[in-house]
Amino acid sequence: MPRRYKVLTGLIALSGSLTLIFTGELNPVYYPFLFLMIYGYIRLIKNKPQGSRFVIGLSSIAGLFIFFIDAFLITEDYLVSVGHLSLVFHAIKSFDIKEPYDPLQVYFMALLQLVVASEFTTQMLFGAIIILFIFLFIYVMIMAHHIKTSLQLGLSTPLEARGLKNSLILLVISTVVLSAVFFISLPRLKYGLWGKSHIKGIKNAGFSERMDLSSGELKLDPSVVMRVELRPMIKGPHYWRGMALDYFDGRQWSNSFIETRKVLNRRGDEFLLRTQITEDSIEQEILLEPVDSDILFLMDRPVSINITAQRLERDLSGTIYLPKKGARRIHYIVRSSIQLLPEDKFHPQYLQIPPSLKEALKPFTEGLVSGIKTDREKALFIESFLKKNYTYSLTVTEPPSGVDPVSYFLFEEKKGYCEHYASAMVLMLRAIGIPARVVTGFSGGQINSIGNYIIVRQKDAHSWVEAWINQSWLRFDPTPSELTAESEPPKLFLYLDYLKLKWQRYVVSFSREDQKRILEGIKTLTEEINIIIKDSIILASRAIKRAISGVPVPLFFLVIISSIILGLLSLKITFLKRPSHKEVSLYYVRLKRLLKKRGLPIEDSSTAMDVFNYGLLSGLPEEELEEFIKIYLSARFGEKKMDLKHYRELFRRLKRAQG
Amino acid sequence: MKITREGFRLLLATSLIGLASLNTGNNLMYLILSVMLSILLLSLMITYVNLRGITIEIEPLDDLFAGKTSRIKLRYSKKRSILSSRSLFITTPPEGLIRILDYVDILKPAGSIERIINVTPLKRGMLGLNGRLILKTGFPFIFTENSIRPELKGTLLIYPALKDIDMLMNSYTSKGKRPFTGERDFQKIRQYRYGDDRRFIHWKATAKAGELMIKESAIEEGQRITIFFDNFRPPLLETFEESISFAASLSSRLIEDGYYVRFITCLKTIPFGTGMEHLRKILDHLAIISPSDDFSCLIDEGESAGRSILILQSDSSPLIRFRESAERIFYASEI
Amino acid sequence: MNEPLKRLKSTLDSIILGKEDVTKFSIVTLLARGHLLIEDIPGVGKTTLAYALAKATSCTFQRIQFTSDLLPSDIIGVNVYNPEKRDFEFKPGPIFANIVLADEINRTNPKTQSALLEAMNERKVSVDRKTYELPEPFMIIATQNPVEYYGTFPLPESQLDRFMMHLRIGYPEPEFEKKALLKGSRFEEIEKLSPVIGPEEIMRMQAIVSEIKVHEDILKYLHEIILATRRHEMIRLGVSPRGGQLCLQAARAHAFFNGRDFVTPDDIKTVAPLVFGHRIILKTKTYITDATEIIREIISRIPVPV
Repeated sequence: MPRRYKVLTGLIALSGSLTLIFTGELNPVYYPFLFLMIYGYIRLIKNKPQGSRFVIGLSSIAGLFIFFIDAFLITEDYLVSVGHLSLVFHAIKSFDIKEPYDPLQVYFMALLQLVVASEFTTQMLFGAIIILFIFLFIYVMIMAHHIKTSLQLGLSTPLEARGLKNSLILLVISTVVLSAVFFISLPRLKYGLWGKSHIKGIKNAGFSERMDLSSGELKLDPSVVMRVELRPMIKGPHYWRGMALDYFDGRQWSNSFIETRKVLNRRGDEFLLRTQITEDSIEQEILLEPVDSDILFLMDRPVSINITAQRLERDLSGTIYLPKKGARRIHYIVRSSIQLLPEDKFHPQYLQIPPSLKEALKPFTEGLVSGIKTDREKALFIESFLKKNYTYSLTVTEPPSGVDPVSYFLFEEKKGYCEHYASAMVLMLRAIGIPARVVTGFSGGQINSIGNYIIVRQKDAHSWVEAWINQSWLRFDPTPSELTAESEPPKLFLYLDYLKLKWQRYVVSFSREDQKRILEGIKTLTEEINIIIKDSIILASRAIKRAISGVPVPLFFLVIISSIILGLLSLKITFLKRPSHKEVSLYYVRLKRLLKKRGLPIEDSSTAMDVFNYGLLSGLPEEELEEFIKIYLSARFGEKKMDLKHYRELFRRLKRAQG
Repeated sequence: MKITREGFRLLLATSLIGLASLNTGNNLMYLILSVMLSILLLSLMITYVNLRGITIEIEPLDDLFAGKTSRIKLRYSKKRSILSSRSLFITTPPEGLIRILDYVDILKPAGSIERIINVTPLKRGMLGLNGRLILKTGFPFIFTENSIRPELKGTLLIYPALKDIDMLMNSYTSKGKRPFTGERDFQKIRQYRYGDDRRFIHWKATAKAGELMIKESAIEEGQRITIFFDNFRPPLLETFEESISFAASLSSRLIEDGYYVRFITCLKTIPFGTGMEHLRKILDHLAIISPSDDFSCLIDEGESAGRSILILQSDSSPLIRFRESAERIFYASEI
Repeated sequence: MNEPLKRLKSTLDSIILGKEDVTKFSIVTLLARGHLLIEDIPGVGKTTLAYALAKATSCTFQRIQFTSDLLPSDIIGVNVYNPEKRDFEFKPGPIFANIVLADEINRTNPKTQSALLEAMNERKVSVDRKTYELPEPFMIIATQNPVEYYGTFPLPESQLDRFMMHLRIGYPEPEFEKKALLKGSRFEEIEKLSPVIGPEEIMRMQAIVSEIKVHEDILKYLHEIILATRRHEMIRLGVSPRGGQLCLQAARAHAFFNGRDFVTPDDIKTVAPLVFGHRIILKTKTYITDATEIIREIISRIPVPV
């Protein structure tokens, strides 16, 4: 084996194993096998002796034993344990590469590792690894080809493949292109069979059915939650509504409408949220990272949602639920109305307030809004009051026991974060009789100027207020804007994030709908080309018209009509001339095939006479066979009329005789 | 087109990945599947295209005799195309007359490569019309293989093996003596006929008569000998081959000894002549002669005049009628 | 097969035993207005065939033995001075017959050969600027000795091209040979033959034959065969366009002979080796004796239209 072949084999094993390790799903206990493998390959490259059969066999059995224990007792996850096994296997195999074909097992194992890893990660890095793998695999396969060739030629030293660089580059490029074509065109099931997913969701998106007023540790997490493309792109701040909370027990908020979930009507993949269709709408194409939640985030007043899902549900608070927690990346398109729309009915729950708090808040709030007439102005006043007089802070001291967090925020601490602001405002509104609710979701985000989309991160999690005023829910945000304006991140980051968006959008969440869209795109493209052709024909005809404007009209028509007649005539002639021998030949060809199957030497160059003679040889009845062939010949080459029924009957009889 | 053992393994792995992708709907798995499929497809396509447009010319550099190692020239050329052909094997089918194993690393578009190789033909016959060469490739990977019988230009004629026939012929010829070199007795001058030795044209007489005239000598008549070779199908085919080999050796020997040899079979008459070119004529015929079942042997009775040697397959042959006039008779079974 | 043809065939078969193909192709050539070249050793029945064919069709028959001293005028005829009329009078040669047997055509000099071949092709002869039409039907059956004899003038390829078919008779099968021996002289038998068909009938059939339908695909098939002879590695010169036309004509006659009014691939496959065999020129470096075998080999590789 040439040295390069060994190095490449080692590299393939290494890339497969590293991919698996980087997903972070494997138990670090297995990592030493990686180093063992590297050691094995170094020995191989240095032409050190390989392990003895006995030791290799023994360790293989041990490896399998560990695998079963792993799979059934320790991890109880076959995928993870297969990943573990692959590391062990690579380590053992690295000491046992003797035959030129041994590396094939290594490649297949590395392939398996990639397959396992694909279940663990959706990172863009994976794509890069695939390209690397293509390169290594093709390189090593070309080398394997030359090794095989030298074996066939009986050479002791392998052939050195000369000038293969071009072939290699060409092959890699064509493989990548072809893979893209395959990737796009391979059939996909609509929902997948959704096996158990192994991708771990981001631990918590700050959403649950409850909102605790005591935790704020997630607020600085910069990991990306979703990427949104807005059409049209409107100025922020944008609010991505998640869940509305209505019930406050003194410590935490919860959604009491959660049991009122109803399945939404659908039209294909489009879920309709409103019967009225509004024209002015904003389209949001959202790519949601795996989140430990079953709630969809979207702008206020959604009209429709396009998503590939078995069903969608909505409760009375307007929260939209997926059928199950999205452990996968989800891609959906929402259209939201920009006009205020008449909303669902008012519910008394939205006035709920713990009695002790009501006592404290009612006079305080009434004092604030005295003299203000409309509910809307009152709400606006409270919003600005909170914004002005309270300090935004993520470090909040725990309220002493017995004191509820809202009163503590309002009257003692006077600083807090969005949840405090929102809770305070909702309770203040409720105290003066205005129905209100806390809404959790995301707000803001960073605009990526390269792809013109919004990156929403974990730290953009937010809560705000909705109040029922004039028969519709209005949004208020009492939280002061953060003063520290974020500086634009480096360009490289923006590019990378843009790539990541495209990777997530067009590779990881590529779907049947995308396939459909591509097909339609091709269709419209051809249609456009047709239109262009038509246009040019029209233009040309205009030009001709101008050119022949001097010619008398009757003559012009004469020419057109006669050419049409001529064209039709020629068509008709070809129709008449076209031999109708298809069916005639069909049965004859079938007979030929029958005889050929029988083992008779019937070739393409056999004539009817040969068929006849061989037919007799194989025991076909002479009379029928002769008649059959006579009919065939006279219809086919004499172009005589024939009794097709009789002909078919003859064929059937012959076929039966053939048995 | 053939998928190798490794190819089937890859195919199996690919279909497993295909099932897994369908089951999970995981697009990254689809990505791996796509890569595997495209590698397979490319392998198939390239293996197929690799053998397109290649022609092989074959040319003997020496006279080829069965069982004797000689040189032949192979010339591979490729038509104009985009891709080069790489890693080509050239072999012969197992039932062929010769064994060739050659390897070409790269054949560029519109380019050609020449090889001179030694071959030891297994038996007499002609290569080119029936026994074609095999062109094989597995490029680029080890998953697929393709082999075709490419367009073959040129023919190889393999003469029957020449054997030492001293044992049988000792009494007959005088090895190494060349009776032509000396003075020749004139007997008469006659018209030139096809097959006469041009050295003996009598130019004076030619000028007088206005057509070619030739000296005919007494020695020449004595040195003329006819070999009748019977190609009627014998009961045993091995003896037929033996007799062909013998006929070839005999002709070679007689010509070497300076005889004018005429060679007659049921298929063809090769008139009197001598020299290497003449021997080749006889050998050409012997290289491809095959046993015939046809009783219609086209030999005139008058041909039996003069000295003749008869090589017979069996007594049932139509050539048996020349037995009386033959100086010696060899039976194929006795050779 | 139509009735008179059937009778003609059986009559010929009763004279020439065991050579059904030879008699068939002779009739086919006659129907196709072609000429026949028979390459064979003496004594296998060439003369018998020609004579019997003439007798059975009540055609006039002439036999020309070609020798080295034969002159063109010996075949075509000469102008002889007639003292009574004080003018030259054309004395027609033996070629003025319906069926002419040109025996051992390669024995004579090229000049005489070409005179015969010209007459054969033009179906008329010119003597002293006067043209004389040859009788119809007109068919030449030429024979040639296959072995390379001295003092022979093998016909050049260009002249061989004039013959429609090239046949070999060969020795009769042993059983037929015995029968023939018992039968005694065949010439007496032929003399006693009563005609089964007349020259006018043959001319009528010849007219029908040239009208027989040939399907486009058949033409394509034939063309493929011709192209293959031109491409074949062992052939220096493939079949000429004239060869193709003659083959088509022969195929038509063969179809007619078999009672069809259209040509099938079988017709082509049957006649092509006989029509093309003598039309191709093999490369000197190749060593196959029989060109018809190469033609057969070529045909066996060409797909038949279905």
